[in-house]
Amino acid sequence: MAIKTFSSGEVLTAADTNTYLTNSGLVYVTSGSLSGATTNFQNCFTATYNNYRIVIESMGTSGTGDFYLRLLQGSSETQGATANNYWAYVGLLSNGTTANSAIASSSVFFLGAGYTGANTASGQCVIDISSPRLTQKTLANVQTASVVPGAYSTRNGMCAFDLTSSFDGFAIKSLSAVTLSGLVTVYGYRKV
Amino acid sequence: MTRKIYVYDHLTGESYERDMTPEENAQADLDEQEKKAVEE
Repeated sequence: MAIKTFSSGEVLTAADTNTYLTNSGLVYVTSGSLSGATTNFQNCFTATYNNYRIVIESMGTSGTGDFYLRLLQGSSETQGATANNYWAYVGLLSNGTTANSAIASSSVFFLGAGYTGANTASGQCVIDISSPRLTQKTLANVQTASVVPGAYSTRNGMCAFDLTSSFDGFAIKSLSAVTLSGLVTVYGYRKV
Repeated sequence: MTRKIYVYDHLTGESYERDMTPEENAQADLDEQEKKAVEE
């Protein structure tokens, strides 16, 4: 439902403009560039929103490596690293080769992008994560586009954390010495 | 070897690089083992 409906010739005030900025559907929360093998985005899941969109653009690696996400409690990854993470992806390469990926137990969310050798600005990932801060299971829909040798790759699927833990942040990791590059932006879905 | 973590803290507005704690380093060792196991 619209916050307010204007008529022709009516003045749009600063107060109205601020109201629209505050109450837009998808609200900017934070952003930051990836650095090294692990970058923490701490305290970005708050009581203000239940659902979040995380966009990673210009994805790249210093060598052969993958993009992973681990849920955080403060700066701690202890709970998120338990073997209660799952993922399932339908994948396809631009040459027609199937590139599905699934796992029955892991300590991380795989984000669907695996790189061979060094790559610069060669991928994009959109993660819609529901209720990470609530004491219920945390599930995410993930869409990723990236490159593999000789082709482009897409994976669409889900990641899940199977315990009713509350998380207030996340880490983007390579799980190796390979360093990651890219820009991460976090948005919150406005609650009604 | 002490690994590094880059941190963006939305609560404080700070961004900084720090050394991993011993616990985080131990987890990173486990992560590397898990990654190798998945790849094999």
